[in-house]
Amino acid sequence: MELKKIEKAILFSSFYIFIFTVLPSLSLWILPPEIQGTIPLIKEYTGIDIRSFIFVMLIVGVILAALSFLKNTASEGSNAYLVAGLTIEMIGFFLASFLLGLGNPLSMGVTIINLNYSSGGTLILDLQLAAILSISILLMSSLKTVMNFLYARKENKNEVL
Amino acid sequence: MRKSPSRIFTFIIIGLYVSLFVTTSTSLYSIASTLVGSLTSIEEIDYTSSEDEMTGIVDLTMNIPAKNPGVLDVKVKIGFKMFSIDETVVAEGSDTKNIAPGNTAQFVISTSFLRDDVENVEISVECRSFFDMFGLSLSTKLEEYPTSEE
Repeated sequence: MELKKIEKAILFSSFYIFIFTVLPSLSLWILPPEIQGTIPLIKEYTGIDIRSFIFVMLIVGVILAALSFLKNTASEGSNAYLVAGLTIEMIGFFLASFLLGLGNPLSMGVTIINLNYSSGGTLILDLQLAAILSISILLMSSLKTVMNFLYARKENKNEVL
Repeated sequence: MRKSPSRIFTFIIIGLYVSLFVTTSTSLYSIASTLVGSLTSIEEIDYTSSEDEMTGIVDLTMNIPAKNPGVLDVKVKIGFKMFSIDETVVAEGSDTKNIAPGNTAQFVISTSFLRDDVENVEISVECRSFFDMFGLSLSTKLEEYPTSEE
């Protein structure tokens, strides 16, 4: 295997680990105590558990890093490349939907939060455009992976002939 | 090996990511800061009310200031509903204005209602931005509401 390919694979995996694992974990440590103190209050009043959000990001970050390493080390014409590439896009879309839906990936960008305080209230967050853009990214990235795979297969065939 | 034609997708995907981050962050910042500004200005509401002693009908006018400290135009709708004891809407009113970044707008809402009919009041603030594609709204019941005695 080419050294350049492994370097690229390590670089991309490190990027996923840094963005989804290191940064969210660090943010919990770095935040001033008064802001950290609002985390239980947010959970109490809105039901949104920021710590569980970060936990989901940690798990997704590790999975994405492993899949990214597999995709970048595999040959573009191999089944491993196709499966890893499409799985990365699906997991990335799940994470985007999870964050846009504030914990509910099926909300498609429209989140209704019932506020638990004395007189009560409702907060509605509408991020449908962001959900549409996330779907477009999923489709384009998947298409790119499939095209790379098919093109590499075709090139390999031509080389054999 | 020749370069794959899928490279064009790379540019489209980068464009989509940039659009996603730019539109979401600027819109969220604008609508969230306007919503928070509107909620804090609710304490500065200027009430004008008069009551007809014969009929018991109260005419109420509210002047509510709202500021857009964000970076995009925000369409703000401030409204209220008055409910009777059986949760029927007995009076309602709203005003919608488009506020440019850094500007303040004055919302004027007028309504008439029978004082004895009103059990509680729900106030709602809705902010939308970027061609109405992003929105944030909050509705809450007020523990105290204005009457003609104030």
